[in-house]
Amino acid sequence: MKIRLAFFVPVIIFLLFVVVSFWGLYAITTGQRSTSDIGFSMQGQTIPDIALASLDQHGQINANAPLDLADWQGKAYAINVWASWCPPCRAEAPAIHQLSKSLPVLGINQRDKPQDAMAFLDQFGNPYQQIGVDPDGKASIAIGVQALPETLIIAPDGRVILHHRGPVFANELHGSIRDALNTLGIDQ
Amino acid sequence: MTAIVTGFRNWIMMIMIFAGMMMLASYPLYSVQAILPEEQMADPLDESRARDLAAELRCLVCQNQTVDDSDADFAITIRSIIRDQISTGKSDDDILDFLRQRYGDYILFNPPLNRMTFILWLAPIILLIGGIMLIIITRPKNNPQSMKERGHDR
Repeated sequence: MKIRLAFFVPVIIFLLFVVVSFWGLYAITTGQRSTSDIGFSMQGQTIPDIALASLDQHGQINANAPLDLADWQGKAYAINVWASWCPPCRAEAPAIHQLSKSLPVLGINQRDKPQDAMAFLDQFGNPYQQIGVDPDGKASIAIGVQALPETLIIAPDGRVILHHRGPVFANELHGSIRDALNTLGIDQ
Repeated sequence: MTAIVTGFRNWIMMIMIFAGMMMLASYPLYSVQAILPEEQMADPLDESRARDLAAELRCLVCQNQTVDDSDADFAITIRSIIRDQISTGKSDDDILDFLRQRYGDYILFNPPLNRMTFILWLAPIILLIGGIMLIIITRPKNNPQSMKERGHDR
């Protein structure tokens, strides 16, 4: 009897393996878990100082009037990393506009052509107080960006209150972003 | 009775062969050169440090590729940052800390042993000990008792 039970142990192990594998696949395909979710963000950390040449209203890259995060120390603000070639960035444009009504949003335009970026802003409007250009993506890495778009909300002391990877939609505006703004004492 | 024990031993053999095939399948048999000539550093020692570091890092926008062998923008930028930091005199640990601060332990292909990862690290040892114990338990014994049983089976 004991041996017969032992005979089924490999079968049970195999079935467990199958169940766990299917559960993992199911969670990924139904969006409960994302393969791009690295489970880590800049949230709770201090935003590193970065200074970037800015993109002005005429589509010119201007190194004399940089986007310098040090200038924003002491104020609450948001950073939105975007590009004209990024479809989810188009999808989140209305939500970023909404966010810009609550606090200043700084844009970081990654690996983009100035004329493409300007065409994007003409089409979707410009929600940004200032736009910095990040032609090689290094500034984005410096602030912990994984893939576009990403949005960070920064407290006056430089602490990252919220780091959202992926597009912002109504769900975030009424959820994690509202909570972050409440922490900062800002009404949406 | 003997048939059941033999069947069980066959099962273990099959599982071991399966495990061996899984290990072989995960072993990189060939390596793709993603590094472009213009990326390389002038000093070959610095370049080999940069390559070694990149091989330890996960490309976070790829499916299980290292930063060293990916063509993704993310990997190219990380490689460039590694080379920037080496040329400003940063140590390997400084560079890994810079990246861990931003992307956590997940960016490392060799996760450090800690409270969150000890099961991952101990699992192979536990499985090995468990496997050896299973083989010992199910090994046919050459004692008079089992000889008698074999006689009965025939």
